[in-house]
Amino acid sequence: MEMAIETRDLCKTYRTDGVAVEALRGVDLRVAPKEFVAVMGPSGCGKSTLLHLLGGLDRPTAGVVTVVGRRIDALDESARAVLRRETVGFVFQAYNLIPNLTVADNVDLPGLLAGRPPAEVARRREELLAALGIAAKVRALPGDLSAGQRQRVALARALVNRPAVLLADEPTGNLDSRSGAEVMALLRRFHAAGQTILLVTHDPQVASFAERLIFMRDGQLVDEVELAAPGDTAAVLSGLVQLEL
Amino acid sequence: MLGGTWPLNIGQVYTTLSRLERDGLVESQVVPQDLLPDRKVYSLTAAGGEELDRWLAEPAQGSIRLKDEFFIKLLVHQLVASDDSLALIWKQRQIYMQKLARLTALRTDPSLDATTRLLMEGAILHVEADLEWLDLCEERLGET
Repeated sequence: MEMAIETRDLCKTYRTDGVAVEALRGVDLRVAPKEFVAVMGPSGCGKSTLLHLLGGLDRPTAGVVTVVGRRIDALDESARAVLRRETVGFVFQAYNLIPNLTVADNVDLPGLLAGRPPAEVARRREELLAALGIAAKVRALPGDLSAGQRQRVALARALVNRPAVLLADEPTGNLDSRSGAEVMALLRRFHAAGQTILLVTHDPQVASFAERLIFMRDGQLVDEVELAAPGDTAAVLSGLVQLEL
Repeated sequence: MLGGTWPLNIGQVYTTLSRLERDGLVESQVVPQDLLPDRKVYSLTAAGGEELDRWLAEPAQGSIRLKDEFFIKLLVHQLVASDDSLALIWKQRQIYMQKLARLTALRTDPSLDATTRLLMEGAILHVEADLEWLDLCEERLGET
């Protein structure tokens, strides 16, 4: 089976003031199509660097990155820009919306830049905004929205080109716990509809929404665990009471 | 009242009621029924009402859970095993993460009532604390 994401012996070393910092030290990662994987680790473990390399925001020092069957580690900047537009979608902690564009224009922009017909982009945007529960905000400016609504707009923008892989870096980092949980529930819905998702976070609660969890320490993947589908509500509840009372 | 989260043992209910009656906090009245056995209806006495008010007004002391099986394992492991205890911590983290995943998934279940949801939130915070503590154990282990 062709992997959505595959890396081999991926390394990234940063040099600042003559000092070499090894952010990634030989990462072998495989994410199958339609998987929802979370990479979890403390700040500085290299998880954001990994995400940047997978999305073509940066180039590795050594090693191989393949996204939906295509080698991207050696691409030049313009080829990587095309990749970022057409193959991957990004959601970051900061929403990075353009403040003087409406919600509609923010979402449409990557679609139009990719050369898609405006009518098709508008249809896709309507579909996404409805699924995200913010259809009524289509003419609003980012400044008029709550933090949770802005992140939903960012999510719609990331998905407008139907990317093979959605990459998310601490997507709930700026949100209170309730809107954070809502955004995670939305990610899970898109995953259920077939979206491949790779998420990096330090937050166990955010990571717990994935179906597979990979732990990262000091630039390496060190452990992983399958997070099984939730069982019967009643069974979990009775376990709870035995556990806590 | 407890959102179905606390299964009651019928035997325990009757033992408790008879103790409360012995202590004068509740009284009972037998109500005859036509086709069914007689019903015993309990009600609070004045002393029972006072005791209830006192109990409600008093803060709970709260339990700090320190008799943790994992902690015992970690201590014993450091005494008897030759390798470090990292593998133990990592396996425990897997278990807690699976537990957390079940809880966060069910929290959004629309059929949950408010009481149960609150209990779930509490359980989630407990597991998060357990995970943070594992991080601390791992950190300390790395220092020695």
